[in-house]
Amino acid sequence: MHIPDGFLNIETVVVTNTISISTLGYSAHKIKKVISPERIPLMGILTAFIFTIQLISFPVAGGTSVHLIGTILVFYLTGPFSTIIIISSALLFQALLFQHGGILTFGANIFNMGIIPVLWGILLRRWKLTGAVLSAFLGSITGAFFCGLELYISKTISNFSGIYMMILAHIPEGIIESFFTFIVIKLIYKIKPEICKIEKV
Amino acid sequence: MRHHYIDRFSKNGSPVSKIKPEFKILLLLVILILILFNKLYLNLSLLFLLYPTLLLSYVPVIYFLTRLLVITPFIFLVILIQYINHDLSVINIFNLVLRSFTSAGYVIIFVLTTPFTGLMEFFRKVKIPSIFIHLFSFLYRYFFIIIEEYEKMERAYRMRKRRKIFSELKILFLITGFLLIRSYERAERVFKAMLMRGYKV
Repeated sequence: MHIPDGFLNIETVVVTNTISISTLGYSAHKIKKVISPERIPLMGILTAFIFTIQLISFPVAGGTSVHLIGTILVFYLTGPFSTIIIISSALLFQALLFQHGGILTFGANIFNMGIIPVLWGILLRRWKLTGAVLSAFLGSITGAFFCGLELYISKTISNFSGIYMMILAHIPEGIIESFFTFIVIKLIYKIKPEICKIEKV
Repeated sequence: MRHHYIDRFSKNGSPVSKIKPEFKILLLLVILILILFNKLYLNLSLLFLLYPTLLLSYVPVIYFLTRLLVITPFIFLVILIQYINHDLSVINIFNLVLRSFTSAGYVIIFVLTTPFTGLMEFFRKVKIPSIFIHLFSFLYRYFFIIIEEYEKMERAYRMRKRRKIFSELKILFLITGFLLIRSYERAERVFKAMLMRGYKV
């Protein structure tokens, strides 16, 4: 789902970057009020963790592989604003250091893999672990939908049905993502609940 | 233990590595924006300029090409979608490959030849919120911690007996969860040591 540079047209790049950079600025403004020394190692390690797990591919059937996104996991450990900041930092460095994603498509990638899953997380968080599983799945699928839509608007894919194919290709990812989120959140709640430092903003 | 130096060509004495980081980043942004305009003659000229830039950066050609391959899965996905839709146009795919490879090529050369500290200095100069600077520097520091922990756990995982895909995934995700917990504990120790040495948030 990491869109590289060269796949989107100028209009899509401008719109997605405007939305994402405004959201990022707002999140940074909110976080500034609650930032404390205890949060820094958690946010730092989560950024490095997301950076790493998105680079590791898991094999699925048919010789294909998928990678995790981890947004909902971070959301349940830190809260929405920290999540946006952590995911964007990881995405920027993936684009810079490993060409996983792009520089001008940075806004589109934050939107698909950061903002959209976080919105699902906010909507479903009242159902705790079930909400986490659902939002991880729906976040991946909706992210894939927007990824397809951005490619369609940019005329990289010429047919609207390409968006459905994009969603279809990401269903295994959504299932694996929700399974991963369930296992890891359950493990952390059981073994090290003090890791959870939800922001109070 | 293997070390992953992500800015390994930044001090190779090449003409490109001697250019000031801020100038290099601005030049990179200009190139990426020019590619965004999608003019064939412009993109072809930038592609032809990529080769002398690569030679002047002293980055080995094979290493450069392997890094460039990272974006191919996304190109294949678009080709597959277009093929299924019976809308595969050779010219469009050529254009897409040209744009994406040229963009990624310049990013690889410019980032590999820029020290990480130079990137940080640039971010400070453009006054991005300080939380990002903290996270970027922690990402660089903690990335190595995570990779070290990952390598240890992966070695232990390889020794175990293979099971069915579902239980295999469950074990993989539990390992990933433990990786996060172990890395967090190490990161906390690292951060406390940094605070003792006078680091300020």
